[in-house]
Amino acid sequence: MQSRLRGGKIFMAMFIISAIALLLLINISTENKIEASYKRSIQAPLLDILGQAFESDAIEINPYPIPEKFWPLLGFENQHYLNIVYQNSEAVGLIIPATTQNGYSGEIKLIVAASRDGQIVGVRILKHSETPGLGDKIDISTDNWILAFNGRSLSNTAEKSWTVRKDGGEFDHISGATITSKSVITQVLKALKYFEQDKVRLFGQTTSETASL
Amino acid sequence: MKNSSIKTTAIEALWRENPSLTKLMGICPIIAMSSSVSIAIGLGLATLIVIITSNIIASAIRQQLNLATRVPSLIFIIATMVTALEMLMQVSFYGLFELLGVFLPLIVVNQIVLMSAESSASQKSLSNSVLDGFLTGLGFLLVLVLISSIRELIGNGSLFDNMEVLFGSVAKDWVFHPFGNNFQFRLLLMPPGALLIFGVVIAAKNAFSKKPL
Repeated sequence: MQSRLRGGKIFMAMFIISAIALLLLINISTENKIEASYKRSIQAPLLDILGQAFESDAIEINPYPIPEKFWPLLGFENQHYLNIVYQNSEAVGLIIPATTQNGYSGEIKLIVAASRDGQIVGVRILKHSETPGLGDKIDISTDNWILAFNGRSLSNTAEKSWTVRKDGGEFDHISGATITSKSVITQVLKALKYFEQDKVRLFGQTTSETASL
Repeated sequence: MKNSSIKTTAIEALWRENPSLTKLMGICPIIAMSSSVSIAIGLGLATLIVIITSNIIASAIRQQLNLATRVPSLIFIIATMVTALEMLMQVSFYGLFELLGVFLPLIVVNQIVLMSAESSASQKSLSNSVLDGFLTGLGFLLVLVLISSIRELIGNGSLFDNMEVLFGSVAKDWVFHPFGNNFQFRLLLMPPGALLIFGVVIAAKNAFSKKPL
């Protein structure tokens, strides 16, 4: 019995070592591919809204840290990154992440894609926990409400119009989910305001195109 | 093994003695991961792969195991297989990996897997272990698919939604809505709905086989 157990121990040790070796081997050989799939899954929603506005083939997205003084405006408490969109190595627009705590149930995370002159290309909700059947219509998979932001900018929509129609604004509300609609609209407006304040740093000197506006 | 006895074993494992329906084994993933057919098939196949591979190893080393080392070794084998599968899945099925979330690593503690490995390690030959693993895994997969198709069909009004996480972009338009686009019965998509449907399935099985639980 004693010798059998000892034999068992040596066998167990060998067995565990070979299993660890196997896992290490798989880990090393898949590490880079996993990194690539992770990046693709992060960028998928970005490319989804960009595809409608820019010729999608030549697009490149580069992350860029958001300065700390703008975190409250975008609803962040820690470092987040915006993405600048390059087409033929020229900056054509950007994707701003934002989050709001004013949803009907918890946090709403969204991204706002805007072209270089501050016009919204698209807004998408990344994460929310709004009521199924009512507030979840902010998500593109259940309703087209979110498309109402397309083409809006600070210059073609006055600041007081960034709310729902019944409060004198220019946006429809989702019936049964006014709080949700309002908080999304307000946060999109804040994201545009951030862009307004930070665009010189992001895109350098104002171009002739934006100067003429 | 003779053909007729394989057939009896198959009926026994898939229907009459299906561990999920008779012993209520492994019902946690069945309750949590059965809101759509695509996720259910994904989890079922992952479990099937883990059962077969760990059965092969358990059967191969069964002479070396004694009473003291058997269960720890089996858990170790299963954990190794699940970890390996987790890494490999991230390479080419990243979307599925994200949808399964914590239930992928939790395959380690699925009783069905340990039960099948235990019986392979104790007496079965290699071929019988593979057969047993295949039938056990298939039984689990079938229960998952059955419950998830009822839930998705009545709860979400769709069938085969989101299949592209399994089969790539060819599966994008496999989804169909037999009751029109707006049909939904949300209760069944929530956890209580899973318990209700699971209960109905067990009741139906008991009524069929005329042998109560």
